[in-house]
Amino acid sequence: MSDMGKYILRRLLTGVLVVLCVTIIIFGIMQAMPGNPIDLMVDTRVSPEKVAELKARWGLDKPPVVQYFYWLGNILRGDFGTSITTKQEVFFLIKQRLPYTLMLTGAAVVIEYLVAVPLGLLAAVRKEKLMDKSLTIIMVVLWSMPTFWLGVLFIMEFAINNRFFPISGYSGLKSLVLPALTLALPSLAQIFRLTRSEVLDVMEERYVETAYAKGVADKSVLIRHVLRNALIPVTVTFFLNLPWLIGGSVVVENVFAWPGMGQLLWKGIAKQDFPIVQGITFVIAILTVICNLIGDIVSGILDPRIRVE
Amino acid sequence: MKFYRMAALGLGLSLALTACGGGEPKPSGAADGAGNSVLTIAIQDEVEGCDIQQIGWENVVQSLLYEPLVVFSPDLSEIQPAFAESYTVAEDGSYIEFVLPADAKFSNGDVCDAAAVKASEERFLAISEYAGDLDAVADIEVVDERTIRYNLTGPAPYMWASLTSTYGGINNVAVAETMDDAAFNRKPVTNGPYYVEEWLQGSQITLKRNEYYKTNNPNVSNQGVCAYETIVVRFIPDEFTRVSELKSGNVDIIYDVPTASISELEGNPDLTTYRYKQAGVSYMNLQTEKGVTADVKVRQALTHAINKEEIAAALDGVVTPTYGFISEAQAGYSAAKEQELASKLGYDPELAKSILAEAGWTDTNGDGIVDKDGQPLSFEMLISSDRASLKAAGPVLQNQFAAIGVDAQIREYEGSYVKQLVRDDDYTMASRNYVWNDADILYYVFTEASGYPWDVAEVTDAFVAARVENDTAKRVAAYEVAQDRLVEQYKAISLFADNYCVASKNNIKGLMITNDGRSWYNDVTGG
Repeated sequence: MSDMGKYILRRLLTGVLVVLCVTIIIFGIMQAMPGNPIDLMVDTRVSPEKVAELKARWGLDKPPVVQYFYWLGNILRGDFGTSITTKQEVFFLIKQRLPYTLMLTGAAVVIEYLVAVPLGLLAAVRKEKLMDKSLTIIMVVLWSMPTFWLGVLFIMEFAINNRFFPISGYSGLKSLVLPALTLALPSLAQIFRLTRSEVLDVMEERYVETAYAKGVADKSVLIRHVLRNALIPVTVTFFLNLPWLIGGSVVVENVFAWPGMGQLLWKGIAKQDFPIVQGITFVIAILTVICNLIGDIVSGILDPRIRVE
Repeated sequence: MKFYRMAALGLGLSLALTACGGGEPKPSGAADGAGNSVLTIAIQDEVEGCDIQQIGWENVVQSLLYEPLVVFSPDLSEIQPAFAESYTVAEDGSYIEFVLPADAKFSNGDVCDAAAVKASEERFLAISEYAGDLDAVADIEVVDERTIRYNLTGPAPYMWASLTSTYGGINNVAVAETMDDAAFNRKPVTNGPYYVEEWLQGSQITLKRNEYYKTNNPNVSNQGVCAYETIVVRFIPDEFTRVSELKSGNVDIIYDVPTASISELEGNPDLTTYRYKQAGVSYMNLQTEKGVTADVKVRQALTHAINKEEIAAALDGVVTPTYGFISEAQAGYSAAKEQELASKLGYDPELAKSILAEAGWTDTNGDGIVDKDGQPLSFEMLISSDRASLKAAGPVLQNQFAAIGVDAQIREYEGSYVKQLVRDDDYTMASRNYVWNDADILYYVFTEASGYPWDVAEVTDAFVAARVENDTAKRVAAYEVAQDRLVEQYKAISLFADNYCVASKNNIKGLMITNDGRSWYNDVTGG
């Protein structure tokens, strides 16, 4: 097996451990939460005997460790379990909503990189000039904006005052614009700052000076020498950001009534629907591991200096 | 120049997204592409499921899918036919008999005869969390094709609350048996005015008109199929977004109008608002066996320390003060008893202070908190954080208690945890609430049937006597007595009933919202 093959295998094994740890932590947090899903679900007029029967039906009367391993055993067989509140299979619920979340986060990431990378480059080239300072201030302002507030602002301006886009729900790609912008804009600053600092670092490298000294055109130096190298960490960040964006879309999905996993996770936590919360965090943990691995592989491909060992 | 190029690129991306958009949501209150009339409703929470026998709470979606055999009259004083043509109660309360209309059918065209209703009720008894509501049913008997009899173990008028609610709707069990529970929960075959056509998880549920539907509900003019062919119920959790959709005309009706928006919507000439009350009350449950509130005089003083009018004002009128334990949106309510309790248990801080002094609680060290034997009158007040009105009332209550020298420290927890702490007897004062259209809920709240470790024989006896009284007037009187027995114990302090609001566009006519929050869409038409 090649070094790269061994590396991927080792990372995958580590990934399995990471996913296991995440599920244990989430399970522990859910167990530590006061109350229980049955009491949240049923009305006062349900007798204590019936409540006990329901707890037994859902296995909630068993010790937490038994509950966890029961869930884990099912997961390994591909059974995500059944939601306590909706009585639907968790896999079915995730399958219904995952495409919408991926659509939203995908669009947000595309917007982020299409806007932030060129602006980061521009700010670096115009370092300490008006353009750099203006863009930095704008990014800080965007970074400071609470997502729900930005969402409300967009709805008021672009869906109510000017009916460019639908207010909420999914009704085609047009309805994706406002939630995707709301999710993307506050995160622009991170990519912008990273791109700017990486470009500035690379611009001070000797090979850039050499390129200029050899009379290579500015544009060519910037694109072929500076940007190409500066984008390596930016590209890795792209993969690391994906799972975070899925979790970060909870608020946006709520404001825009977007039918994604964020809403499902939020409701699962509020109702202590343990199978839903475990199922979604399991999916996010796997996505995180995979994206991390892809990020590492891509950085290795982009920069031959990065060695496996 | 580069900057402008990039700006143009961003703008181009936005335009591209706009251009390839799938179009606006379907216009509400209008016709869809096929010329069918569409009514759009927005609610806060997505339904757990559509099968009324598998779920723990219901809302307007299920009320559009199911027709109970009978209904309460709008003022809750009378049981009236709905899906059933008529009903009879045995003199001795040993059975209830329902006669179904000829040619009654489910939404898929299957016959809904007595055998089908029996199968549905038996399924309810087998799988519903609320099967206990029908605990007096000994067996269900098919008398003939159209007549079904519920043989009872004894008089059980408390069953009406369940039978008249959406939980009293009928499922087509023959269809349910052909699929797994989860699938039937998504798309049940029922007897109500609409059926589920499509459920987009997390987004909306599309209901289609049941062409076989008919009702005998005397409160509606249209007893046949509904005017709207399609109803789309959208799930919009955010309050601002939900209200914005209504104001923009994208939806026709919204439920769960946020309290902050009620007055604004009421003042909007394009909209109509409907108000209704909580079918129950929010209250403070008091520890009677241990700690500072074990002394009945302390509980009495706390009762008189609360100014409910001030609470209602602080909450911008979104609650109505209550003094008894049955709200006017519940069967069994007595206005006279409410009036009597208001004067008996009303706000009187001076009386509260004197009762405390009588019990030996005085402020000996001048710190503003009364004390006795060196112990200050201080306790934790558990507040349910998931009940907006109770959460908002917490600080007001704290101030009012402080005014008579009582230190109540607010502890906010999820309602289910507060419930657990009360069941574990680990509390001094805990906020609770109940919602059910019948006063029988008090039996589950203030007797051991609740699982709470509190049982006073005279209180339990009074509630048991009230719940099995068949005669309506005598039943109201029995609940008056039961409330007196409860109040004598100063076990709980009734606070308020929430006021709710539904809003619709003005062109939507014929929507009927009863005082207890039931929605009847039979007469709804669009302009």
